[in-house]
Amino acid sequence: MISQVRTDREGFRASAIDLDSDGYRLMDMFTEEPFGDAGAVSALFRRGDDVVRLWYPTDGRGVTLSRDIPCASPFERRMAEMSGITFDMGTDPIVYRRRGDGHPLQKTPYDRSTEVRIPLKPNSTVGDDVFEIPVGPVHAGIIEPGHFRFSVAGEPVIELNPSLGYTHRGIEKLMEVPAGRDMSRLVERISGDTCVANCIAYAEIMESDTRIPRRARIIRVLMAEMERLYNHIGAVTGICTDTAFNVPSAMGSGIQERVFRMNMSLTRHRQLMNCVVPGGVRRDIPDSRLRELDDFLIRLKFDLMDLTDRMMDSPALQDRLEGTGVLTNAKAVGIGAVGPIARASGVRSDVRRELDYECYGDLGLNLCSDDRGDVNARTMVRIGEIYESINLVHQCAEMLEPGETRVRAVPSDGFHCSVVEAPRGELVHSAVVRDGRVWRYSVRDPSFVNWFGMCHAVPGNVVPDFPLINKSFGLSYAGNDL
Amino acid sequence: MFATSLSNLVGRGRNTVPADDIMDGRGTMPMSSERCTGCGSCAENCPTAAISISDDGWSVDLGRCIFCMDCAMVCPADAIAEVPAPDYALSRDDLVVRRETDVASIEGVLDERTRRMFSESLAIRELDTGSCNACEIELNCMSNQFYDAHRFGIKVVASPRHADALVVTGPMAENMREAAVRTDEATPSPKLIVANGTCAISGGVFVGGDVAPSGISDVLEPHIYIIGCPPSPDRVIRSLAKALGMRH
Repeated sequence: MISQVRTDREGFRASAIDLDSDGYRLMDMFTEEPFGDAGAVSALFRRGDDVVRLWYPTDGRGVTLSRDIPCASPFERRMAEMSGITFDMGTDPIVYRRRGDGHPLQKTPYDRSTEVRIPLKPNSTVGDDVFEIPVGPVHAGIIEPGHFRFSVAGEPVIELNPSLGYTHRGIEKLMEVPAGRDMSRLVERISGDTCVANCIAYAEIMESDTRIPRRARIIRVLMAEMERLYNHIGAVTGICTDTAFNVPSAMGSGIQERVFRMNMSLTRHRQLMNCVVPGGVRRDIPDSRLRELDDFLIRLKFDLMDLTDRMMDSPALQDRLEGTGVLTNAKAVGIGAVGPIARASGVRSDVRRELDYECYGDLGLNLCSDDRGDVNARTMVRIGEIYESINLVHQCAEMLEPGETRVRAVPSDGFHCSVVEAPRGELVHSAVVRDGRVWRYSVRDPSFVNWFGMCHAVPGNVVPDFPLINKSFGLSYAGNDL
Repeated sequence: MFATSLSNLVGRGRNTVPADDIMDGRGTMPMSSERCTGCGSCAENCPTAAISISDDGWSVDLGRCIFCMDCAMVCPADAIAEVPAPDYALSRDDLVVRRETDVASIEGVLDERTRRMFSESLAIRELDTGSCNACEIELNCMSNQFYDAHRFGIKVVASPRHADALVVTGPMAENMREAAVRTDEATPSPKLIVANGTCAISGGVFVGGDVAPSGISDVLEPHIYIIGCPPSPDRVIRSLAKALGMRH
């Protein structure tokens, strides 16, 4: 349920603080351009299934919220950089590594020819024996680009600052097209490992006024859970790889490959792309494939038990994981962490249980959580969710009944918002449609907030544990940078 | 304990793809048939403008195609079929395919000197210039026990200074330009540049917008263009092995 509250500049701060103290969590903030008559700043809050959009019209000046609600800070930085809104408290750039005249999300063109390079900010920790280690953007493994600066004195890290934005491709601007046009091919590629979740969020916005066939909803959930499966299996495998626990690591990558092959057999794409579209799904899953899926899941469960038993039986592995990279509950709440990261720090929240989107309301789902907040807790939460996902895929396959899989869907004018549990956590898409055109499309990837969790979890740990902590957070660069 | 571990890796059968299968398997691509009326609805609905219809007839640019087959779904004459696709090409122009094009002829081999240098062992360094991470997932899969790229002498190295080839993914996002140039400079010659996937070849779905990435070719000069969105691990292995004349 979405309620919209309009305030003015003066009332915004007080209303936001009220919501925050009532247990509402800030999900996303975005602007509508051009500033002046039609300009606005919106903040989305959520508590359970209650979503509130708090907004005020603006002439280009914003109201600083981050002094009272710290997790507003990254949103304010992004709005200042991308839309050119000004805050009385200065903001650092967050996406662009260069800056030209104008701002990319403004309706007037952004002048790239005048770009100058923004120097990276040095860390604030200085001293005789403090060294700064710069890493990236090109890393040693096959991973996405990002730049990190550690300040170290001896082994332990004192300060860590990530600089992201290297994979910024201007997706929010590309989404501004006539509302009837299907942009799901682009939405899938916001983050190649979160195709289904992103696409469901996009489709739900486009379908706000349409009833979607039940079979399509079930197929979508089935695919979303297959996506969570391969992501979580990949993350758990990564933990084994980064601790040089080689046999389970090889087992894990084999299991992940088999999930990819099952995806291929179900949807003809290993990462489940080209399937979810506004109005339903593009391809039906034939019954013969579903029988194959059943056998596959049974075998998958046995193989996973083999893998996870090995992990839990190894004191050497547990020694590396326990107590490493702790994100305390207070910090997780403070930064507004979401998904498995938050659940491993004792925040018992899962969009699938709270919002009942698609057909999750009809499925039995246990919430996996842990209070310790360390690498081990995050790994255990993921392992728990892997088994839950297998269970959900089973339930979906049993619920499938013959029927339609696609109808036509075009959104009406106004504000639309959808919240989805992606493998990495709560994913928020919101759109403002004006005169049959997507006027502004905002995507808030779970990684966008969780990156700040990692900055709090790493200090105090030794440098060689950074890759392990990074892997346990398993954050997306592409989804964060858009 | 070691015996059970090993049996888990290899003993359950069907795990490793035989080298011959990797060499034979092919992806698919859209191709119009005789039934095509030239109405243009496929070109209109193509998310990456890969299809063009002119006086010369129907053509698809495999450097732009993301193989979603939306074109086949919208075709009123049901004229677009999925046909076997090539895996790679050695020049950008070869990727524009017409009905009369002999697909097998697109996949060339590199010159003999390059083949002699790299066919026995190829150290690759992956460079992400703004990809969505799907290409990275697939490149990581290349070294799992199903594909085991090592048996072709293909290995992933940690530094560009140790690399024979840069496998570049992503559409060359503005913020990655400088890092890409410097990674290229850090890689010793002779080297191969491989454009891996639709984004790297042409910018794919990200063309337009405020950043307007258009593929890697205005910064780096690719020697091999591997098609696919993302290219599957077997396709990457196949492309490298065929272009370099690797023994299998």
